[in-house]
Amino acid sequence: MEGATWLAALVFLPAVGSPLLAHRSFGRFPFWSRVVLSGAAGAALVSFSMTLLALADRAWGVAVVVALATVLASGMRVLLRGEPATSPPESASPDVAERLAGAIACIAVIAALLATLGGAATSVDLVFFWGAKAQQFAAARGIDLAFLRNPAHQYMHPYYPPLVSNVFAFATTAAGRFVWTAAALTFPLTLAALAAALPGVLGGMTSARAAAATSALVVTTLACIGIQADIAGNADMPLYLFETLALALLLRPDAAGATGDLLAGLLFAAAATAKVEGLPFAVSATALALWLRGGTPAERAKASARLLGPTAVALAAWFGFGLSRKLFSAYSEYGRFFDIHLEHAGGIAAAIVTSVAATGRGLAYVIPLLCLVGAGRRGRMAALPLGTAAALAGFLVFTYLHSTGGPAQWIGWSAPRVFAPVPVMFALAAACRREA
Amino acid sequence: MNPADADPPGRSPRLWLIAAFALCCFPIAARTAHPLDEQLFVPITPLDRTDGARAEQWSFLEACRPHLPPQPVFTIVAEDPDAAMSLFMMSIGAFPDSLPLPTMYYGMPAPEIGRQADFVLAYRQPPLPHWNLRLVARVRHGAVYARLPAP
Repeated sequence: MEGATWLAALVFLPAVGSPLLAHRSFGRFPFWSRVVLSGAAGAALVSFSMTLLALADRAWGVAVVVALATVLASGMRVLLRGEPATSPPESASPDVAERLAGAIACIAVIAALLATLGGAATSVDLVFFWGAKAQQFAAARGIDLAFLRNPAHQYMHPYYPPLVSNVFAFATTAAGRFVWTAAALTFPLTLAALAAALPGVLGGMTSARAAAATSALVVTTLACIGIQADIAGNADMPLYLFETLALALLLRPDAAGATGDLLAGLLFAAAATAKVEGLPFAVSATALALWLRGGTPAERAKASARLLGPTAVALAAWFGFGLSRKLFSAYSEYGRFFDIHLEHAGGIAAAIVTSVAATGRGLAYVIPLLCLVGAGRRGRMAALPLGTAAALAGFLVFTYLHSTGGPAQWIGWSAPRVFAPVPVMFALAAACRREA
Repeated sequence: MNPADADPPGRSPRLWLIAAFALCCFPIAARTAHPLDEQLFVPITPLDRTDGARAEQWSFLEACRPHLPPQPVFTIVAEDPDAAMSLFMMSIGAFPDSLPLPTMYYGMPAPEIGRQADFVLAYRQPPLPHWNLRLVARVRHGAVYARLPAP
């Protein structure tokens, strides 16, 4: 029963995001896409509200967090002043290929659900620190400083971006206790959310059939990697949701403007506060999107403020908390910055290939690449997902190069998960239109 | 060129669907390759099918639970340093109202910290004899000990 309540508390996320997504300019998205986008925006706002309350030494409670996050979502509507009303594309009844794509995505979600319920996909990070942090924060009704300062809790990673521990603590507060299975079930739940939202978001950039097929490919890729790399209950699947939706939004021809930029910006903020690698993803995707769009310097400055402003504010609140409490001042544990060990470069490449190949025989990485190659020459917008994938891969290798003793073991348990957005970007690039 | 030409070639969505179906089948096929009784086994710990060693460690912590008072201060000893660290990390989440103290921290012995505990959970090895303990209960894969008051 508590497990159901724990999961039901996550309904607050789309409810919190709905005042923003209810704006008439978001009418371009089909219903389920809008619900999931509300949830993703809601997650960013709930986590930000919890960080703000912690910063102000105010106790967390479900009502106060929901109220503050809802006020923020409503207040953001001001930024959409003057944005015109839009409506979703006329919906024709889905053809056989679209129905088939939907069925395949459903099978992938069910496979993820069964694997999670069967204890075959649980992340060890959930039982090591995500669960412990969430229940400790829920009990303390805030970010528990004594807990994080305890030297024996160094591997609770106090500096880790706060979204997952905050949202888990929020659900724990609502349910009255932390429920391990419910936390693990966030993997199939988030995957299902992506399956529901992505066809509608991609529908703005390609045909309904291609959008449905691309979505099925993305969902099965992530299900396959998620099950093989044991990500249930950790921050990876939420990160994939935020990143995939943000990139899909930016690929739409109607992305430029306050509506598209602000929503993508909120998703980037969610990604950057979910995992460390969410930040380089957001920065590189924004830079590429602005480069591809062109425009005057003033337009680019405005767009970059909308795209990266929410991330800057969210991370400022988090680092403000860390600095003001003398808890952390930077992302640590990755070695001294720019203390690069090039002698490991060859070993890193080999270890990445080995660890990716050992995850479902590497099929989930190779098959989307083959689909990209098979799609032939794509339009210039394909540079956005491909460039972002290259930047993310570069960042990850750069991070591994900081390891003093050789990062083979680190790569072994992290590479299959952290490189998962790369095949997703291949699939999105394959769906990009060619220019006339 | 009309908009339809700009879309990926007509065969691409079909190719992607075949690719998606193949990816979908892979984890299912891998799963059904296991014997039926193994597939029907209802997991007891969150890690039963991902990490057998840690699943056993989780079960050990659960077996110790009834023998500990509310809000216990305890430490865990294990012969294998990896097992000791893994048990310590898991115990923080498994016993949220308690204070676990490490005796081994990522391979570095910390007996001066562990010795402050009121209870010792001994996983697959007895605690050191000079720790002055009494046996509370034997459990699967180990035992629970309580510290004796100083004479």
